[in-house]
Amino acid sequence: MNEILRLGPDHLAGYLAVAACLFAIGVVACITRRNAVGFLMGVELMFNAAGLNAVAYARFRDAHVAGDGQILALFLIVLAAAEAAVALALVFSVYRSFRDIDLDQTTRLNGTAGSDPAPTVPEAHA
Amino acid sequence: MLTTSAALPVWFVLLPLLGAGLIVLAPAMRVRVTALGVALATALVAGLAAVLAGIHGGHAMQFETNIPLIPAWGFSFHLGVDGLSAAMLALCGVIEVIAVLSSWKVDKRPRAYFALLMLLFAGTNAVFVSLDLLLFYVGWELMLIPMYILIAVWGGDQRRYAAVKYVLFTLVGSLAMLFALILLPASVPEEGVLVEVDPDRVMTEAHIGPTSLEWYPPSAFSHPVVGNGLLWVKNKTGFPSMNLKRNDLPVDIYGLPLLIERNRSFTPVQVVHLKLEELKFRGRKKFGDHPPSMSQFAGDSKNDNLDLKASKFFVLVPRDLNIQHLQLLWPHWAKTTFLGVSVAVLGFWCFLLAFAVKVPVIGLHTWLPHAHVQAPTAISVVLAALLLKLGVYGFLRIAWPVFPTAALDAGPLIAVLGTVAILYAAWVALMQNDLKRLVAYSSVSHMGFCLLGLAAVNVAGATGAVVQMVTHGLGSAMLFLVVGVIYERAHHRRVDGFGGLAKPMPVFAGIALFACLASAALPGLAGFPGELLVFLGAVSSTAANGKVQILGLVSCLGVIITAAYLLWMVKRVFFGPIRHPEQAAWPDLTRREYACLVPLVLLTLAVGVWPQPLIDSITPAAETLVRHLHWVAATR
Amino acid sequence: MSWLPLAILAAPLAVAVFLLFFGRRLHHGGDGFATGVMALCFAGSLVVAADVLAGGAGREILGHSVTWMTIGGMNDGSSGSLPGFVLTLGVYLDPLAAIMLCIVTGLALAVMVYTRWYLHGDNLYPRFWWSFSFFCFAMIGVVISSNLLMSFVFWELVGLGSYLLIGFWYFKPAVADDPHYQAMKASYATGILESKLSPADAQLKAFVMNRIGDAGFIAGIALTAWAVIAWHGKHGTPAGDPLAWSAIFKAVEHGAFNEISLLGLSGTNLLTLAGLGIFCGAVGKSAQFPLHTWLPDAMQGPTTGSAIIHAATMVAAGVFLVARVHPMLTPDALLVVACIGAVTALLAATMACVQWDLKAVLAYSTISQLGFMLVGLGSGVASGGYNAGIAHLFTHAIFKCLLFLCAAAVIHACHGHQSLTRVGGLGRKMPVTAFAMGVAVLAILGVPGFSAFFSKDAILVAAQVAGHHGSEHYGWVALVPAVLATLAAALTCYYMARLWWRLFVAPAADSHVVDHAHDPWPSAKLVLIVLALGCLQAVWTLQANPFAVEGAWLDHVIRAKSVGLYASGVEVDHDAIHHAHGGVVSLAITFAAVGIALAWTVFVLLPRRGLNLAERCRTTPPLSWVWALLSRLWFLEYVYDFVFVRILGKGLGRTLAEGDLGTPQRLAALDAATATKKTARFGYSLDGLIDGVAKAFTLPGRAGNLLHSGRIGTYVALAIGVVAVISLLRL
Repeated sequence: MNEILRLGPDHLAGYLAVAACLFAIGVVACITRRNAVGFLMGVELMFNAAGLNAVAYARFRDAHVAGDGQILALFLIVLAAAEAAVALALVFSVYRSFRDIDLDQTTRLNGTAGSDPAPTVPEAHA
Repeated sequence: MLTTSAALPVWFVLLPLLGAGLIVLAPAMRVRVTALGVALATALVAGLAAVLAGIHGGHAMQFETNIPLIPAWGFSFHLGVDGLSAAMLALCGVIEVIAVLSSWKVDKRPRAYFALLMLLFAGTNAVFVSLDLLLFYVGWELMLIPMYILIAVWGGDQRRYAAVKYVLFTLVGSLAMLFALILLPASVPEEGVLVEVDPDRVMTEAHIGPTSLEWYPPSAFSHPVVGNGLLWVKNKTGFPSMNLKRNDLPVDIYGLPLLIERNRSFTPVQVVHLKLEELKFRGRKKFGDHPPSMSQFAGDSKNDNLDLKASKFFVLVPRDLNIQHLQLLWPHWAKTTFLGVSVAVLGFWCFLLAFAVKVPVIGLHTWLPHAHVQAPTAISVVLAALLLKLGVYGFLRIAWPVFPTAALDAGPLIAVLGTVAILYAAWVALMQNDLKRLVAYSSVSHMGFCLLGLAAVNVAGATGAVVQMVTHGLGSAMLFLVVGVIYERAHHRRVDGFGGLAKPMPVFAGIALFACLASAALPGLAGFPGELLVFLGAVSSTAANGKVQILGLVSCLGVIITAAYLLWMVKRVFFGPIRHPEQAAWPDLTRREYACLVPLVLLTLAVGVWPQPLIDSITPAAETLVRHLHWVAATR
Repeated sequence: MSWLPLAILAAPLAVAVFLLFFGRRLHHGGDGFATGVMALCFAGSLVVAADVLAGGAGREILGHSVTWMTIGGMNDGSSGSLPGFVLTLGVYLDPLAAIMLCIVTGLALAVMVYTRWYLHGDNLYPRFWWSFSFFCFAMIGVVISSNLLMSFVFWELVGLGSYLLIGFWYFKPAVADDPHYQAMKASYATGILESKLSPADAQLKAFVMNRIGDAGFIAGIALTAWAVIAWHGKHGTPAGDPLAWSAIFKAVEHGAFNEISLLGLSGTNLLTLAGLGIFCGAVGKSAQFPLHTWLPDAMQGPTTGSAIIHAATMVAAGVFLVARVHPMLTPDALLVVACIGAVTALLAATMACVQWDLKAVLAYSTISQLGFMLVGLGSGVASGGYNAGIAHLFTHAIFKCLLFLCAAAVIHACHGHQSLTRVGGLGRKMPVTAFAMGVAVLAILGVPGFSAFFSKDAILVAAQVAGHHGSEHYGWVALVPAVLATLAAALTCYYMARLWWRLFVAPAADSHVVDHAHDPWPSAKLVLIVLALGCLQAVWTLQANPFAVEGAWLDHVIRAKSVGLYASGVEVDHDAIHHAHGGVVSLAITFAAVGIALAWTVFVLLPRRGLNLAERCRTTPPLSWVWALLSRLWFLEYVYDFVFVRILGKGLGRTLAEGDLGTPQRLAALDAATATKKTARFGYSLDGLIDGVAKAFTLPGRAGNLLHSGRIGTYVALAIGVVAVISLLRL
């Protein structure tokens, strides 16, 4: 079976599939989660999926520079950590303004009319 | 100093602009007086220009000023006054003074108000005297924003809606005009186009006699031969005829290939190109002030017989934005296409859209009632008396002359629109309860006469249309001032909220009745000559196989409804017993109101009893236009 | 003396302008000044008339003329181009105009003298003098005008003068709103005064109905001008003034209308159309059916004003115009003129029979007599109708003015009461008035020796003769004018006699109102006597024998002028006239006698015996149905009000207005709507459609707004989606 589907530990497709699933889960998590920390978890998942992709390609394809996929994965881990730190700092700041980290409540930049008062032509004062 | 080359139109445009600046800088106590002074100065300039242009008459442009600004585009600061503009200038002068006088009581930010009013005037004035298409457009747009602000800030309680609606409507039209403005020069090749001109016009305007040819420098021609001289083909008898085909001429003048557009069979022998500069450079006789005689170009004795009447005249029209040049290019528009549509049709409809919004034409007119009702009295006066005329003026200055083929084709449509405007707007006005809205619809109705007169394509109709423009300006200004007087006392404009006002205000009632009778075209008052000439022109028109005639007969019904709604309004407001006792104590007209109304009353009487000066100044322009259209109809 | 007509024209205008500004400061509002000037005008017009008439029959004077407007044109003869032309204002006097001028100024003078007594004490007194002088100026202008356009110009100014005079008491409410009046009227009083019209309403109605006629008039003018100008253009002659009388007739004679066509009509048909267009104006101004309803309502104005305007001059202007353009009226058009005149005559006569308001009777009588005049004119020259119509125009002016002035005296004497239900028995108390009115009634009845015997019978003769001639071509339609006119003459005798008997002989129903009745001032009495003299036949015919068929001075003066196309070379058919004359005369005398006797019986004799026959007729069917129909004016007022005012005017106007800008609710909600998302729905309108189009342009923006939810998750999805799409596309 593994020969036919070419999934499995000896083929690239499987690792890509896993990474894609992870990425998809991360995207869904970003889109649907209301909690800001949950959102960030999704972001982390997406990072890691990308790293997994990098490592898989490094394993199965000839690299331009030896080990470039693994180096990229290490970069991504560090970057993810740094981004997580910055993002969590943002979450703290949001919490301080909104008293809430529910992402459905932090929609002040909503563009549809009605959430802002209508602009008025300035009255000419006597 | 006041020769025909005086720069009166330049002052006419610049004075309001300078006035705006002066008002901004003036001390607070003197704002109104400054505004009045500027308006009076403008009126003086306008009056002088109008009278002098009217006296000199003729078909030529007077007071022409031409300063090239962007030669690459062909854009120049080109102003001029002919009979048509002269009539509009006179109207502008009067209305601008009246508007300033009737704005005296504005106490909210008067400085801003009067400065914006001056900008509005500047734009309007620029449109009426400009002979350059881009300058025309600049003036057109310049009017837009001050009007918007004036309505939106100083208007009634629905002013925002009305102002936005006005701006958007006008802008849609202006965009179409901008598109056409860019399209037109872009359709002209860089070296210019050789077009045939009406020999009758050249002969009458160029003062070329039938037996002698005297060459005058190009500036003597009212239509332009800017720098390129006049090319004509001499016609002689006794020589065999030839077919002239493209690039197939016996003589190739100085290496300039002639671009004869069609095969024409005529009997020329020699093609003479009087290119002035080249001739100079080639060492021919110096021209100076002496017009050369033809004999120096005569090769042999056979050339002594010139038959100018049978000759054809061609002009090389350069690529630029000069309206008179664009008029000459009419055959070219008919031949060029843009995305599959003939430029003539496209350009005409774009300009028609722009001007139709302003006239306004029924269908595009709904901005008018809102704008008039919400605007303050003086702004309504300016809107009705001046801005509405811009649309018809645009037709007369640009749309009809530059695109005569499309204009002739659209004639029946314009006539229908005119008749519909006369009747429909009058009926709608009948049932209005708001005084200002009633007068606004009466304006729409009266402008329908202008459209009908234009569609008639004869001199009586065209003259009537322009006379109607001027007299309607006076009449509607009076009506809006009357409504303003009432509003100032009552602070509402509902017709059913008044009754029997003739008792406390007899003089005002008399003037109101006078204004309504003038609008209803009572003979002896200003409204009559215009309508009479439009009727005479429409019923005797040969355009569109009699359709315009029938529409002219149908529009005679308009006089009934016009009298009905105006006099019914007078009856409900002024006659009958007093319905609201507190109104019995209202004062009659104040001195300021007298100062606004009495000049208009006198002018209405004067123009109504003696319209000949006005007609005299308009007739040459009307004749030129109609001759142009007839020639086009004959040769298209 | 060529400046004299212009002076006669300008003097009343100068008086009017002067009195408008300074009248209040003058003694008695300047009445003496105005009257004096009018006296001078009358004297001047006598001089002018003597000049014109002395020059022999058929003399025409073309006086000063000034170019009013010069219109450019293209004189190059290319197809479709029309030559330039001018429009002038000038003086044209022929015997018709000269005599009419004398009548206008003379009657104006008489009325002015009379009004000094009649309106004495009214606080609007000064206004009358400048309004009246302005009216006289306009009427003189119509009479002396030298071209069709000038006629129209002064025609409209006459309408303005009438407007000012009808609405003299502009503050008065309608009688329906006047409780005092309602309490005092009789139970069966219905008719014009029961309509809802106040003077302000009446003046509006008069002006607008005149304008309906004027719309046709303008159309006729334009068609005529077109024909003449086009003819000149084709033949290369300068057009000059295309609307001058001579220019029109010459062009018509040379077939100008044959060379143009409109809507498939050409030649005679188009000429008929143009003629009928001009006749439309006459229908409006002379209150002919169907535009007759304004005249009875015009009785809201002062009676002396009505005497000149709605009796003698303004309404006569329509007839005058028809007489002027007579040469260009084709036989078809003339038949229409005669038919409309006859229908009007009969219609108005029937309505006059049941009127209980003194002025209403006279108003309907005027309409009826104007119809007679048009029957006369419509019968053409050959039957003598042209002369008859004009003669009746003149005689009617005198006796109708006299009737109205007597009515004014009665109204004044009875303290404003003017209904036959209350006043009566004034013969003893106002002998001069009774005598004068008696003379006038005898005149209108057509009793031999009085003026209308000469003119009205000539009309009936002409109608008969023309009917016989025309029946070959038009069938029975040609006989309609004669038949209807004869019936109307019969009714005329009845109702006018009824009026006189009830006013002066039958006792008053309410003796209080007539207690202090007396004759007017001596100056007014003199006016009445002088006008009564003008009602005698001998004044007009200068013949001792009232039964003479021809040789009348008036006939001689008017007839001999040869008039253009359709009458050029057309001679009066003396034989036929002689033939018909005897029969008509005997018929007329019979009608007069029967009318007087019948009215005396019903209104004087029988009531003395206690039998109120009129009351019985009013209440018992079937005559009560006839009475209801007539007293409700053939329901025409209701029909006009319903069809033209409610449906065609206000209904259509409201529909169009609401379709244009929307209902008032929509207009009130507009500014609120801009601020909120939702647009209020208040029906459909053009403005709403445009607003909808504008709002449709915001839809893409709103769709785009959906993307801006403010949620980070959405933005992430969007980003990923865009990247995915791009990558897929690139593949």
